[in-house]
Amino acid sequence: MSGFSIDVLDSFGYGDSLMHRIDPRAKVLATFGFVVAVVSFNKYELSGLMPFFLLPMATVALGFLPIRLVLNRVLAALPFIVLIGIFNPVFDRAPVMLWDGFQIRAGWISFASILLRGILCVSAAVTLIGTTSFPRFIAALQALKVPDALATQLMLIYRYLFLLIGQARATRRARSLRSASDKTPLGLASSMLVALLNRTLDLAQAVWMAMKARGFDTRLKVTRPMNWRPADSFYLALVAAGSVLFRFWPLGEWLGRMIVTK
Amino acid sequence: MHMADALLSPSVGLCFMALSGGALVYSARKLREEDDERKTALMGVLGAFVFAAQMINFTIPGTGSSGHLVGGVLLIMLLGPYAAFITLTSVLIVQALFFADGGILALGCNVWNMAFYPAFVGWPIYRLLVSKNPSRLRISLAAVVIPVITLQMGALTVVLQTALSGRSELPFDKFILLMSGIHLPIGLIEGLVTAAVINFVFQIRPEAVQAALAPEGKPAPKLSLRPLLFALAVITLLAAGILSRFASSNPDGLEWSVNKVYGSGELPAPEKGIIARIAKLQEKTAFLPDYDFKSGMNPKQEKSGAEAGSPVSAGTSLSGIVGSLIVLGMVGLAGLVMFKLRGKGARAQKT
Amino acid sequence: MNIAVRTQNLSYTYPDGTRALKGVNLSIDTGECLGLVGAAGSGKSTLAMCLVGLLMPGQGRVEVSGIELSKKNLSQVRKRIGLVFQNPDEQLFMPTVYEDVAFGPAQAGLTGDALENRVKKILAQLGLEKLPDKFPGHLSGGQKKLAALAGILVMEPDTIVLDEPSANLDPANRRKLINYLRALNNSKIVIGHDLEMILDLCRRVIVLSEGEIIAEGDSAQVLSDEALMQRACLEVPHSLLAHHKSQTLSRLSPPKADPH
Repeated sequence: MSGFSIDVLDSFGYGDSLMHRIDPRAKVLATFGFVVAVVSFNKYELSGLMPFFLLPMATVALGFLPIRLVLNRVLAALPFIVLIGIFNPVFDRAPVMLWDGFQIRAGWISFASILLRGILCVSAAVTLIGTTSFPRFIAALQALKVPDALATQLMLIYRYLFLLIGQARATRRARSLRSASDKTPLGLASSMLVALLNRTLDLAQAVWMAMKARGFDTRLKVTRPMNWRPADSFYLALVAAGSVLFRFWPLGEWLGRMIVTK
Repeated sequence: MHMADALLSPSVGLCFMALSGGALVYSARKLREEDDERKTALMGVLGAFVFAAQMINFTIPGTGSSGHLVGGVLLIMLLGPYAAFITLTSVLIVQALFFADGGILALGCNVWNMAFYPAFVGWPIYRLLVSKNPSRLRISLAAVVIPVITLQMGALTVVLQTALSGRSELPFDKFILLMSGIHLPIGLIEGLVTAAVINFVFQIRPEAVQAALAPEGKPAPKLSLRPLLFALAVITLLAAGILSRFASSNPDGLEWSVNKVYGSGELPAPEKGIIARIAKLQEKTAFLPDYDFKSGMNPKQEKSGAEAGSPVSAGTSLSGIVGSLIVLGMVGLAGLVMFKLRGKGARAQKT
Repeated sequence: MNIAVRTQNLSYTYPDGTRALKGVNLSIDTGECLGLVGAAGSGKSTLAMCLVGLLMPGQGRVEVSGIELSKKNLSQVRKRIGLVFQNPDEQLFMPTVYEDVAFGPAQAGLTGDALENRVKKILAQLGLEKLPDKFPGHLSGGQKKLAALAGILVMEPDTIVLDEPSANLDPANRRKLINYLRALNNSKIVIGHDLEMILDLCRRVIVLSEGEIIAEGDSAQVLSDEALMQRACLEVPHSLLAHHKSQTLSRLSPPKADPH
């Protein structure tokens, strides 16, 4: 999380492009289906996963997202995946013949598959939020019938997290200006957290007052109307069909066999 | 530790989506019943606080590595179980999308591991320790004990989810030891920091802690044990299923510990008894994965006569590799075409 | 002339024992703009919160548009009087400007096109029509104030209470806000330390000190009373100081090489 500013990814969601204009409900459903399709492959699948790069690629291109942004998040997510996946070649030593005379452990293949999945799934999430502003994303969830309480909390958390992160940064800066070392011992960190929490509780009190003063009574009632256009149906159908197609039709293998057996 | 999509199978992912979704709906209903209008603003702002708190890194004594407050237990002490669960779920959703912590399908798992346990296991423990007699000592004790316990349960479940998904080859026993070991000190540190913070809050704003324990003078949410028992039953089922598969297909790792216990390298009568029955039940329900842990093949591959020695399908042979490269090339080309033909678009300006 | 808001013997004591208001009697006519000044801790914010029912009077009564404030009719009262908070970040709690402005009427039951039209009208009125999808955290200070004001105006209250409206605003935005406020027909109570602004907007002013009203009357007269201002821990606004006027003018003439 260090070095990555949530503001950057967030601001991209407010852009305008073909992808941005697609109904967020369609994007949420499409992304979910995409992820399910990707993870449903058997653990040794490599070539079957390749066509799936089409979706994040198209979203990046048509959504005017910088590739650097997607790569940044993918690289951030990889360490954990690598940490677990790297044990695959260690424990799965079954030999696999790649071509005449050259064999590797099956574990390497499943490890590579895990990496591919990781890249695909993280890209899907990043490109989703990169082309959908978070408030619109929440609206999509509401339309998909998530409990009101969750939608409300997503709204409030989103509204205030930047503010509080800013306060945390200011506290950090203040600390570093007054101390010799860069390392924060537990005790000091606790004090900083207490100070932050205190301000947070004050803010909560004030926000509650503001809500009450405008008639709040435990249920948030505002929703922005969304228009579903034919383009949205087309998008959803395309992604769904593509996911099913490439899940069951091994395009890569097919093309490869055409070339290799010639 | 967040579960990732890359290590997940659809059945495990969807199963935990359903479980977490159920817990969510249940919590929303119970929260409505509480009818405490103060909580809404408090939940939202505390959820935002979780992100702020994660920016305050401290050095872990003795290791030199840095850590930060996760905040789950702090939240249950300030919000009660249902509100805390919903808040933590929201936090996890934001983390999944903005920080790529976890994944979209993995949300179900992560909510279960990191929101369900603190809320629905942590709260009863908290109530047990504190509600008769809230004092700094008891609250601090709870603050230390609960993260240790709930993080262990979360770690165990991550291992379960990974093992059940069958994408990782990490042997169950080693993985458990690893995760459990790592999360013990993590839980302890989390507990110590939480204790320090909640202690202070209890001193200067005791009503904040009281509010969760006894909202508006009503008795504290008592948490019907039913959802908890249900959850524990599910976990036991899954764990037992794993253990039985594991035991039957991978004697080596288990032999060592079995030897120690039974002295003969053999488990007593596995065909009878609860575990075997649960294993049979699990096979019948067939929504659990279809991998044989030893040979790493799925039943279809086994049936088609693939060698145990070469479990991989033709997709990874030379033609598969060539084909992959071709497809990648085509995708790249398509991307280039779209890039050139995309017309005008705008990145939003901040102000 | 109708009375927009009236308090009789209003008193409030905080749970920790602080007596914030001690028998405050005030009234404001429909369409009037009343200034409420006082030092920090004089009870201004407490009074503001009592007027909208966020705090219930310990003693005395509050009457808004003819309705006496009580626990039972809070929602009715809050439709007639709105409070613009000092810190807009506390008030703008929705993720977009549109949703925030729409919050009040939506909670009151307005939906669909009626809601959308009302929100759009107010946004246009305050020059915010291009910002409905903006994240409030991304707005400039001035825009935030206006958005917060919009969220109150949209409820079409009879009276608006503004707590330190010009706080943290640069001169240009401050001037813009003052102009907007002057154009509003609602009855207004402007609370704050920005005495120049209060002079600008309000014909009548009330001075609060330690929970009590110590002066009331024409703004220019009351605020130029040095002794009174001192008692209230305030200062006479510069524009009212006769001898300061000439001092300022002389400072603006070409500088002399004078060792001072």
